[in-house]
Amino acid sequence: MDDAGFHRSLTYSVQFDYPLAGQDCEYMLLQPLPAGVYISTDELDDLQRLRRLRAVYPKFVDIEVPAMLGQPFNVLLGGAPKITDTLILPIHFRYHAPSDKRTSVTVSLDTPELYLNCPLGDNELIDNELVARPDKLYCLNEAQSSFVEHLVKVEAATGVENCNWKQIHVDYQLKAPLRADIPIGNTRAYLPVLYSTILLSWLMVIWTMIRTRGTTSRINQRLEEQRQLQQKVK
Amino acid sequence: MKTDTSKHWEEIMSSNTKKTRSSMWWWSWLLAISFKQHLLISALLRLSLIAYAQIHDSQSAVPYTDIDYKVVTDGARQVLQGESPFARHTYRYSPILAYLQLPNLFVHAAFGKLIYSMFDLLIAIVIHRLAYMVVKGQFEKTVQHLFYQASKSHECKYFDALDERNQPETVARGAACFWLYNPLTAVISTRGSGDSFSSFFVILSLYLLIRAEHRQEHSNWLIFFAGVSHGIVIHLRLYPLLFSLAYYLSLSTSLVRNFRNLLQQIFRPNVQQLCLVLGTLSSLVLLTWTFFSLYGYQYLYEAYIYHFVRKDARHNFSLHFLMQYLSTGEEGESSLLIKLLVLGPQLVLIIYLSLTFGQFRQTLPFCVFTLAFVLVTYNSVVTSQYFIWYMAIFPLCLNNLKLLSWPRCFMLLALWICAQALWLLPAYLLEFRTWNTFNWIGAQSAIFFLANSYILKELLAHYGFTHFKISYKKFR
Repeated sequence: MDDAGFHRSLTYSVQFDYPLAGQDCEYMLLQPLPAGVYISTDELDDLQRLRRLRAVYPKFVDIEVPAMLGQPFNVLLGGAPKITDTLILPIHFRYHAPSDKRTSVTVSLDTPELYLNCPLGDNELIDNELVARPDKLYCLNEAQSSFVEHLVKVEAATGVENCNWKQIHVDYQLKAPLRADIPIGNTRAYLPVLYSTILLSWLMVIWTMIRTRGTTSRINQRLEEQRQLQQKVK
Repeated sequence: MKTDTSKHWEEIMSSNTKKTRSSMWWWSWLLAISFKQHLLISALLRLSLIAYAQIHDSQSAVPYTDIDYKVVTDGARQVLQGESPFARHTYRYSPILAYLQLPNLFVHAAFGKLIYSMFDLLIAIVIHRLAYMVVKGQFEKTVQHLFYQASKSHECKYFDALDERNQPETVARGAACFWLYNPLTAVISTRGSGDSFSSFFVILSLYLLIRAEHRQEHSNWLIFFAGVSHGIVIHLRLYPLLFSLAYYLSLSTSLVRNFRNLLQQIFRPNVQQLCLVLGTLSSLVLLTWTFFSLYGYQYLYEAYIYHFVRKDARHNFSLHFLMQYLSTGEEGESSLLIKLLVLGPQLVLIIYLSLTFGQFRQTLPFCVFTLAFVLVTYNSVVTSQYFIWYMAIFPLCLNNLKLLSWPRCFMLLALWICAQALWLLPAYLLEFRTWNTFNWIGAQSAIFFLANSYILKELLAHYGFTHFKISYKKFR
């Protein structure tokens, strides 16, 4: 993750070893995002259009609400296994509520999960040791951008069909901790700020009126004279 | 009486010597080209910007095109499928915009930008005609006034020669070019923002109101249609609602001097004022009712109510930014008294300006400009897109601000730009470096507010409208 800013990028370097690399498989990286983070669906739409990203994400993410009203959600990033593959996901941090104790809040992101889907015949390619839960298959639920455990009744209930996904053990190497310090305001400043805002705006209004009163009444006086004259001429 | 007249003369004569403007190269270039050619050049300029946007957006991940343009196009897609445009999330505009952008779907994706750019040019045409009319009308009145004071009123009909250097055409062309070559307006339209579309109706209302004063026949109809146009723009953007008092008072036949006069004006309207109100109500009610019956409560909520309940606490130029952000940490709603104290100043100023500059149609364009300026300056959210609210009307006032010297004009412009630039520094540090600069941004917003208030006071104090160089010899 980038070092600073409300707008950062998550950069993933996904590495596969042989024999998986180059196979006709497909992987999905599931990145859970907390309520303090949002993505811009329009931005990701554009990235997909330019083929810089293949991703599954919620159709609508409210980009305006502050963190306490936000909802956590997942983003899925897709790709084909290669020796190394780089994926970039732009994320944005939400404004957090001000506090009287701290000057910043820490937003932590969970590590991503990796899921793999190979054509039925190639399933033996996936080493059983790699698989996190060998007994389980997962279904890709695009509408909720998440994976759900494959159960017969789930399939019947949701009509989700893409159910050949396996969760894979990942050997993480974090370049930097997935944490961001987001600055917040000081609530103790609220009342002084409120009163000075009110005072300042009233002062400026009164000052403007006093300083321009002379000009405006002179102009209206002259225009009124002109109007009366016109009425006389008619 | 006599001293008064001679003072008047002196004032007019003295303005003769003030002008050095014609020596500037760009000024002579502006005048060397006809208005039609200026329109053509600006049209080409906008076309090339639209073409550039196409190329830019196909290459870059940071689009040139405004995000709202996409939203409205999506809204148009919903309309085409027989759905409500509000089915597209964050569609918060009048459905008219979605209808206007329907050709985006079956002609070309950039068609809406062409429409908005066309409105840019239409605005320039109306500005040109309006500025011409205002200068000419004011000249005639001044001459009439002078002849009358010199007791030669019977001769004034034959006196219609304007001084060569002060032809209304010069002023009108200057005003229109000020709009056409303003980079901000060209970029905003070609990014696909509908601001020029709504500004067009504001200027059209002004044009029709002032036209009605200069024409005897059908003047009530002109005022009715000014009202219709005003109703359309209130339907589109809400904020011009606050111009209504000025429009209304400008149609009166007597000066409002005290509160009783004002009440009399409001409760005993004349025919023209009735026409204005009827026109406004007819288009406003018709449009709003039509869309309400088509799209239901969601339309009212998204297009209007949302803008009142919305609390966008992210950093912006507004004086209210820090206060609003810090209030998100407070429990419960602020009291009615606090709300009144916060909203009061702009209401007081709007009423003051409507009562001072809104009473005559000669001063009406300037009045609407200052009202828009106050609305933006005192708004609870201010971003640079809001500046277009007053920029569209500003060209109409250029001729009234000749009392400002050139160095002073540049000083005010520099002040306006510097105050924004100074704000950008802490905003950048917060947004891209995550420094805790909330209080600093708040202070800079306050400085920008003070700068704007000073500019407003300067413009108000330097307003002038009778500056004609009438050759004394000719008069004799």
